[in-house]
Parts: sequence; C-alpha cells; structure tokens
Amino acid sequence: MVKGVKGDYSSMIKWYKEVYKYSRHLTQMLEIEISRALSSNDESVSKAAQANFDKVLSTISSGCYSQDVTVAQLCMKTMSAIGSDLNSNIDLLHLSHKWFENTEQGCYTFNYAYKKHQELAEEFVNCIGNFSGDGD
Amino acid sequence: MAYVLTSLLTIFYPDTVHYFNCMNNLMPYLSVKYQREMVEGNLLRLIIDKCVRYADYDPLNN
Repeated sequence: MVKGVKGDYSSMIKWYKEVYKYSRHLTQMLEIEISRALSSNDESVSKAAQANFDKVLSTISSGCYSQDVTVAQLCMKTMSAIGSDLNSNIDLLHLSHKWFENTEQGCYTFNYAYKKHQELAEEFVNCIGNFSGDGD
Repeated sequence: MAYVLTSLLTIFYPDTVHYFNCMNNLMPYLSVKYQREMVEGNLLRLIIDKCVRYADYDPLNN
C-alpha cells in the first residue's frame, strides 16, 4: 500500500475505486454486525464486533500512508464517504468517533496523508467533517 | 469539528507555528464547506482566540 507493487499503484487505485463504489454496502454490513452484537447482550461478541469495526476502518484508511497521491486521495475520499454513512446510525457513530479520536488511528492517519500530500487539504477537511459528525 | 480542529489537531502539531500553518491551508475549504460551524459553532472565535493568545505570550510572535 505504501510503496505499491514494485512502484505500480494501479491495483490499489482499482481496489479503492471498487471500495468507494460499494462503500454504502460496506457500512450496511457493519451496521448489521454491530446491531446483532449489541442485541446479543454478550460482552465478548460486542467486543469482537467492535474490534472488527476498528480493523475494517484501519484497513481501508491504510492508503493514507501511501507515497502515491492518487491512492491517498482515493483513500480519503472513500473514508469520507464511509464517515458520512456511519453518521446515520447512533451505535456506529459512537464507534467511529472512538476510532477517529484515537491518536494512533483515525485523525492521525488522515493527518499523516495531509502532511505528506499538502494538496489533499480539501479531502482532509471532508474527512474531519464527516467523522466529527458535522459533514453533509 | 471545533474540538477536532482546536484540540485534537494540536497533538499532531506540537509547534504552534506549524499548527497555524496547517489551519491557514485548511481555512479556504473550511470557510466554503463549514461556514455555519465556523461562525455559529464558534470555530472561528476559538481559532482567533488561539492566535491572540499565541501573540500575547511572546511579543516576538506578533
């Protein structure tokens, strides 16, 4: 993700375009998993679902560490769309805030991409807005 | 939004000058997309307040 496949980023770009296209579907799946876990009243199931939620967001946001500006841009665009979708569910909103405000994930990752690629200021603002709950 | 920009972001910019530089770059997009939060959400007031306090702390920062 960071250096591409021998410097070629086309597969990552293609992957991000796919994820962006189906981002709504992805958030719906997360929504189902979290609501099932919470309704099970089993603490271990809830914790596993929350850990999965963090893993999904961390995996998708890993493109922010890319040296390629297009990958980082697509990653932030995808994360912004996911952040916007997560706002519609109160449980997911709570989890996404927790992930975003973690100083080693969320905001740190977006800020890393912005520091590396200053031209991504607009995408950075969109990500912050959507994950802090002030987005569209 | 205000919390993220005025508190969370400062963790990643320990040097205040770098923080203001970052805010300066973000300002055009913030003012277009989050106009309401800037004024009604006190974001603009908080940023100006930070700048004033920074300048007051050391006359050289003016």
